[in-house]
Amino acid sequence: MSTFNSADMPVLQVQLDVVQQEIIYNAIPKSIPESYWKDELTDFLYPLWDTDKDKLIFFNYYTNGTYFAKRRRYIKNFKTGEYEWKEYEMEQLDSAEAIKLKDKLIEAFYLLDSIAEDDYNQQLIRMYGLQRQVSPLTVRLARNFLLDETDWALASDSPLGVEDREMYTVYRQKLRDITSTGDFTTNVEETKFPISPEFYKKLFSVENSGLGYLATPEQFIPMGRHYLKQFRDRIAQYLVLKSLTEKNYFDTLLNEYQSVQHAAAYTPESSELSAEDIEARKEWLEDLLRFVDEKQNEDGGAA
Amino acid sequence: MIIEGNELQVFDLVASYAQRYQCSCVYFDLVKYNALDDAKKATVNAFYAEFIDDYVLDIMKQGIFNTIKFPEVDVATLYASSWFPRINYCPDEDHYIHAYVVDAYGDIVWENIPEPLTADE
Repeated sequence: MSTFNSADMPVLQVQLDVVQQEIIYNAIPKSIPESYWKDELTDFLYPLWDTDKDKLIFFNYYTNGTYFAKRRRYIKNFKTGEYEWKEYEMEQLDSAEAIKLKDKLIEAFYLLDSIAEDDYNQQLIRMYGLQRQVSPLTVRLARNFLLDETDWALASDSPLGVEDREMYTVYRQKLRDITSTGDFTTNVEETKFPISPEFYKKLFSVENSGLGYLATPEQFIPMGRHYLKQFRDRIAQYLVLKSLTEKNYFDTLLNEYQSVQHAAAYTPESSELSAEDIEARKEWLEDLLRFVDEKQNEDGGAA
Repeated sequence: MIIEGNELQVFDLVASYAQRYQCSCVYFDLVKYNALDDAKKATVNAFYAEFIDDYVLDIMKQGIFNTIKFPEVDVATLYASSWFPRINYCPDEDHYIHAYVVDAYGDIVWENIPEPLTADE
């Protein structure tokens, strides 16, 4: 009689899944960061396990010291002339090579956490780097914000006097011209914004009397990188929210307007009935009720 | 006294080797290739370089060795069939290199001879 010991069964210890780019060690999977894959594993696998024509798909190493590897070979189909990948079980190599790969994968498994953290930090640094830059979009957002904020000044019911309205007209035109200035196209960080009429009246004209509004170069100043960076997101959020609110407000008004129109469409018909019509309808309904009563009485008697 | 003798063929050697070492062998006949002039050889090499593995092309160019050992017959067949096209897929006869795979039983399991025609051919 033979006995069976489940402890003899080979259990998967380490797996390298190349397609998913992950290492599974004792049933715990971990993704392999791109940097580690390129810098470490690719070199390690080449050329014994992985070549240009023979790509390793996965490698399984079992607790009983055996292993199983699958590869894909890039071959020419001579009949069609096309190239295609064919999957096949890789031949067994020297077990020392398999152990070397297994040990490398286990080492990688423990390293992955710190590598992933490094990658994450690198990613953050890259994102921060992007955020630090002042882009044409940043300037456009700020410019659009300032234009939006001064719409009221040129409205027909604006409380401003003629002189102020002219200043705002100039101001808004200069804002629109920003994107065609040399600074904007060559060195966006140095894009100069016109000072506002309010700033001119309260500060600039006090110190520089006699100079017309936006008539001299010193009335155009860079916004300051910190301002553009700090308020870029806020301006973007504000413009999006404003646009959504306006649309919602318009839709609500439109709905209400249509329901009022709809209700109004029925009112004239009911009010068009004359007193005679109403009387005639009353009589008709009463006749109908009498007829129903008589019918009921007849049926009741017959039963 | 020897009354009859057969020259041992290459196949017998390859089959014997495969059986003895329980492996599969890819054999390719380089006699015709070795006899080509340099210009033709260069053309043939360029044809094979497109799909054959570099190390096999190097073996061909050396023209000395002509057998590659594989532990698994499936892998041997896959490789051999991707290296040595059948004659009808070669530009001319000079490009054709006769090859076959012998398994651990000493049998030919693949050979790049023309495939039999199908019913619709």
